[in-house]
Amino acid sequence: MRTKILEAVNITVIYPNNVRANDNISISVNEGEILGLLGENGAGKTTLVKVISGIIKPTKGEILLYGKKVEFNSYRDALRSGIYYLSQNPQLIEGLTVLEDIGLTLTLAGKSMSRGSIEQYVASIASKYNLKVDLKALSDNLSVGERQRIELIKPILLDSKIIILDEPTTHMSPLEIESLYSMLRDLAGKGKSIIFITHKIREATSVSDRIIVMRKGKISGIIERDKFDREVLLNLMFGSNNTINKLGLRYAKPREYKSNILEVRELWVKGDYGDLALRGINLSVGTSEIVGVAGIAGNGQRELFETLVGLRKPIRGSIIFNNVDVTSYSPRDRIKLGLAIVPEDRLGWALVPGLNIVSNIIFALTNVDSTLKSYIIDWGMAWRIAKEALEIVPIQADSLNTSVESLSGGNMQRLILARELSRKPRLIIAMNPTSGLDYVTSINVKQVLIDYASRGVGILLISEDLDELIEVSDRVLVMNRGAIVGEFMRPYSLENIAKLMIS
Amino acid sequence: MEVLEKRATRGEIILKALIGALTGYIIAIILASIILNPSDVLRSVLWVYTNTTPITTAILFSIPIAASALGLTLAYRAKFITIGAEGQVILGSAVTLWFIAYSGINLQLPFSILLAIILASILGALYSLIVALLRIYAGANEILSSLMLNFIAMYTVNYLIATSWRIGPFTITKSIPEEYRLSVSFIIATLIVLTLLTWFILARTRFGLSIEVYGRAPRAAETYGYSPKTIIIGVSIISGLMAGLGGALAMLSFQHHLTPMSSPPGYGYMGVLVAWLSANNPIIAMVASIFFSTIVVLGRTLQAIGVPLSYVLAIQSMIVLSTLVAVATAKYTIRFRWFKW
Repeated sequence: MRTKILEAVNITVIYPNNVRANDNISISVNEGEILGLLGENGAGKTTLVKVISGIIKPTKGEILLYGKKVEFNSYRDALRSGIYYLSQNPQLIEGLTVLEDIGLTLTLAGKSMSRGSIEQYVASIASKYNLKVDLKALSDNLSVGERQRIELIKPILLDSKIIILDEPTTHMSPLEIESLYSMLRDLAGKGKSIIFITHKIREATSVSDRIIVMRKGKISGIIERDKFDREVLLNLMFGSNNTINKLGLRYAKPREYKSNILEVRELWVKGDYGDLALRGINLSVGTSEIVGVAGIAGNGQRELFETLVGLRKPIRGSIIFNNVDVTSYSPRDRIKLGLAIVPEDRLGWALVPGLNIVSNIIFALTNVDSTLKSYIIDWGMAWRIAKEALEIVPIQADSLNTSVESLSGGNMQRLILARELSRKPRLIIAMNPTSGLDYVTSINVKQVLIDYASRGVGILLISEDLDELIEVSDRVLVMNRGAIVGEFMRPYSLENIAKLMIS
Repeated sequence: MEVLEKRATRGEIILKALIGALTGYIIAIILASIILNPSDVLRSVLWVYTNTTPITTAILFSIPIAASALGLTLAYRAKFITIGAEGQVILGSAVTLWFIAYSGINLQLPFSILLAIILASILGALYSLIVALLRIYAGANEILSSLMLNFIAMYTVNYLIATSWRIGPFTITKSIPEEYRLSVSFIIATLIVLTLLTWFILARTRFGLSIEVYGRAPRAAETYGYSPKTIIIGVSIISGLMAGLGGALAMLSFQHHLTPMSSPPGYGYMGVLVAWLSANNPIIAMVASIFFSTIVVLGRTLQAIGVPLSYVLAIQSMIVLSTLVAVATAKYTIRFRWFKW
């Protein structure tokens, strides 16, 4: 029997809104093991690890480290005790370079290291685990994937004993996930303990030594490696009479491509620093066609999205949408032609925090909806239009007067889809539409896209989730360093796509 | 020390604001009593809040503050942080005085007043537009450029007062003739109309919605078809127009003439403060403007019974500060505890 390094005993967390996020939970972590923490969104996984890493104070319960009771008053305390928490959406400090950010974390953990030795150490870790990082880059403009890579390096640099990863694979390609697994196994082999949070059964079973399944704030089962079974885990996750097994995507009959709704020719676009972000992109989307764009984050996908939406001006090339050359059109004029926009950030890019659901629907419709076009808003009409929009994709909310930031990620995404589809678009451009969503909601979202394609809408789906792309796309394009490097048709070869993504 | 945000109801905030103001007054009375007889001080405080003359004066004083603040609520909601109201108020007053007392243009009475007001508003709007254009086309920070423009307006007007507008040996200008002066009822009506108009723009118009969207999520505004340029130009024009109007009404209702002492009156800066204090809510902004101007009136009263000007300013600031702190305690919980580092 290996030694228990950490124990959490009878942890109960009750949030101010009286939600019991953790209900009398006890877990232990052994030295050198990879512990999978599996559960649906809202099962209480993140709350539990936030207690362990000192971010949340439990309402009840205690934490034992090497058998001794510890009390963490902040993240810093946990960090100094050798616990590293890697959040689902890691934030670096704006205005600092990556190197400075790493230095700051070291200081926070009570260690100091010279610039030179950080650089040297990071370089050796990066080459060992195949993590590409640019220490001189400014942290403001890094993608989630890039931020994650930096966060992965920090616990190794700090020599943390317990590393907690919260849904680390959300923004990773299959190959990156594989190399993450081997990195975790290597670290576990060196005696580190790893808590790996995921809502995907496949991920939990492929890397964990032991899986703890959580459901509705409680532990519903603990399973050892030799007893892993998909059915058992599913039942533990969703309850024994779950309907999840019956859920699946319904595909429409083979669709007809009549003509191209979007054509992009030789598109050259500059990035934020004047470098070339897109190098001669050619692509087309037909009516009724779902075209997926695969690629590792930071290979020009964001710039492609922004250029097609009209937020970024190309230096060369043209964009033909609906038989109109829209290259110099504003986003508003493109929306008028039938463009639906689903950006990767829900709050702040697609939705306006602080405004209610109705305002969040109509602000994006006033440009195209003739009944809303007058200078004075008829709020009665606005409410009716909002309700109609939400009939297309329903959401769960107490009232339409609710401020959007109180909605769950899934409901936010449904709200965005409802609004965009209510404009009766001809083309939907979506970026990472299911990232961070639970299993059921992401199936809903994908189903909506498939349904609309079967009604003649063209869809360009830019995504970091290769599984999702293969599931819904009629064609998959691979983007690498700002260029389209390959095109794949069904049946897809996951391996070949993944190879092109990193070549 | 740790500061936590908490949700406070509007009632709670208003109650705390009143308690804060009251505390401020008590401190002010104690401070003034060091120099003067406490009963005299108390009497003048009570006089300000119970007599019609000081209350009327306060309402008149509040018009340039309120007009600036109301326009700024729109600008600040769009995160266009201009502090140019001061310069626009000064220009509004000056051009009104020029038009009526110096230009030699003689129209029938209501028309010349109307034209003077329109002229002042347009000048304010154009002056404010400079700030917006500098931000859009030169990337200039609006706080700095509007502050500089305030100095330009102030010193230009001071120069005019000291040279071509000066009458006699003292640096004082001609006065607005009796028949051109506006009554307090006109000012009250204008206050109400401006407040309702601002509220209407925010709550009921498409432009108001675009301001909210742009201020809270500029990226969403741009992506879904709003033009940031239009929004910034729009709010700068409206706020400048209102500040210019405030300046004109100040001139026509209580200033009547300019002296170098009176030309930097600070009404525009008070408007900036009021807009922030009222969380950019037009109705609260109007009430807060009147509260501010009662403090100005109180200050003048204290000065009249012998408190030196600098001490008056300190007392005024004391009242404002204690109100601010009280409002902050309604919005935040402040906890002191020892940290383990």
